[in-house]
Amino acid sequence: MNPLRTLRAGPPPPPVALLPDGLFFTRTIPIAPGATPAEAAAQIELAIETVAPFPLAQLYYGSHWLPDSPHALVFAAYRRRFTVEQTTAWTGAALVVPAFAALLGAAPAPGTTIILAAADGLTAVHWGDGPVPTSVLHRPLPPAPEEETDATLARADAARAALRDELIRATGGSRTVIDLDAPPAAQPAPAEGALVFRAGELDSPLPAPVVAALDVRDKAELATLRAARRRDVLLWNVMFGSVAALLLLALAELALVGARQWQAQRKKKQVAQLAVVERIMDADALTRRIEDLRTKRLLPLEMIELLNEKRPTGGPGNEIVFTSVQTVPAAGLYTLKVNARTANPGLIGIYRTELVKHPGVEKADFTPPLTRDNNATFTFTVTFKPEALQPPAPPPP
Amino acid sequence: MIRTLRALFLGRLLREKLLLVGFVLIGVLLWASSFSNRTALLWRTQRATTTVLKEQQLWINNKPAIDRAAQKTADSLKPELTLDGLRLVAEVGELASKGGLHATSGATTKEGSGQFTINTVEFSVAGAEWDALKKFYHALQQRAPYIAVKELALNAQAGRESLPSLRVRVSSFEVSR
Repeated sequence: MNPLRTLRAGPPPPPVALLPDGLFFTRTIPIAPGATPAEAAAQIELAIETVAPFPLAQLYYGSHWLPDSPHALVFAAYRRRFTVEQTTAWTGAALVVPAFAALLGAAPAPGTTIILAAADGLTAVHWGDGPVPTSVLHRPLPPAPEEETDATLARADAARAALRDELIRATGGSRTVIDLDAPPAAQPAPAEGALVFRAGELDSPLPAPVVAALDVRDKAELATLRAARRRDVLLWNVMFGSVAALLLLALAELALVGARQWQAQRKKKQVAQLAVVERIMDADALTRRIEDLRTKRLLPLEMIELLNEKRPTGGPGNEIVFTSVQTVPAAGLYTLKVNARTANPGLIGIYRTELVKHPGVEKADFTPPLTRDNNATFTFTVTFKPEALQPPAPPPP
Repeated sequence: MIRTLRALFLGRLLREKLLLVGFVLIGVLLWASSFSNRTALLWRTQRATTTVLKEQQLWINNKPAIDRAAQKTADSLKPELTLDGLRLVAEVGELASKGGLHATSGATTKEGSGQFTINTVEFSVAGAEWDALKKFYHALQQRAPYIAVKELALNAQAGRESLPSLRVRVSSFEVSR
């Protein structure tokens, strides 16, 4: 089997079970004018209970009613007339109805009678003025002759024709008669739950609500089947959505490939410009440094002199001695780090206070002193205010 | 075609439907997750590239202004007073000698781009008088901005506080015309 051909061929017709018309009795029952579908359904059930010789639980029954129709057509069969094998075969069916019910969607002209021929008999479906048939009659055919001779065949044809005439007379008021020799066949479903049957030239579309009412199966079982159908449709929708998402992802992948190429071009441009930009940046940085060299000067001795202004220098035992002084390039032009010692640790706090108070000092951070052999060593970092530092005056010319 | 596929799908057994949906869903989730990661990565990369390209464009746009600034800086200097590495070493050595100091120099480092070159060298003076050091320092400062003090460290040896050692890094620059 060619899968593509199968796909092109369209969906297969849904499985339906058309039951012999002779097993069903049919009635038309009046429906109150202006009834809603729910009210009509209640009236139909009540009517079947009234006219049927058996309780509803022992019947397979269905009905056909359209809004604004003054009557409904009901049909029912005793359950025991069907074997377990037959009812088991209905499980996968989209619809189980007597064969004539498949034609109820046809909308023939008023006064039309459709004669449906089957192996077991003839069924006449007659429409009055409305869209719902006014009567459905079935007549069984006499048993087929054991020997097929011209005479027996002629007799059978004559009996068939007589039955047909009787049916037309019985329906009454037939202005058009349509003879259908082939049983109705289901066509691919046009929409979820709806069905279309075709018999000869006659099409019978059945919308979903009509199909639901026609089905003769046990109503609880039907409810279960419909729930399963809804679940399956939900699964299909998820499947369809997922496949659509996969297609979208495939498209998005293509877009991503395009975006990557675009990005690669930009990256190339970035790399190509890098050397030029680095040269410009270097030139800028160097110019700034030259400008800094010109305008901003490191003045370490001037900073030391400021530190010395407040440094205790009272001689051994009463002084602070700087052991090393160094600039801190990472901290800028105005910071000095000093290592110092004193034989009098009390001077450290005094000196610190003096430095912090100094108008030229922005901040002074002292580490805790380490004391050994009557000597305290400590380190402090001082940051000066730029305006406190003046470069040395140029020598006289 | 979709209706055919739908009919085929709905005609499957429930477990087959569940398996099909499960596999496809897993596929979608895996692909979507991978796609999302790759898209996020590309998004971050392109944003970074956009930033870099904008920055580069800014530099390129500013090149004339940077060139003008460099030219202006160059014009404000006297080329005859600028020093290359060799002259820097010689000049600083001479200034030290004039102050009675013996300065030893380290290696000269050179960095430059286009119009300017900066030369940096470190000098050390061991055990010098404070006044001589001050004189040397002031002599260096008088040569500013053609000679600039970049770093300075003074160390006093224990017991010889009056004779500190000096380590100074100085820079000079050259202007290419």
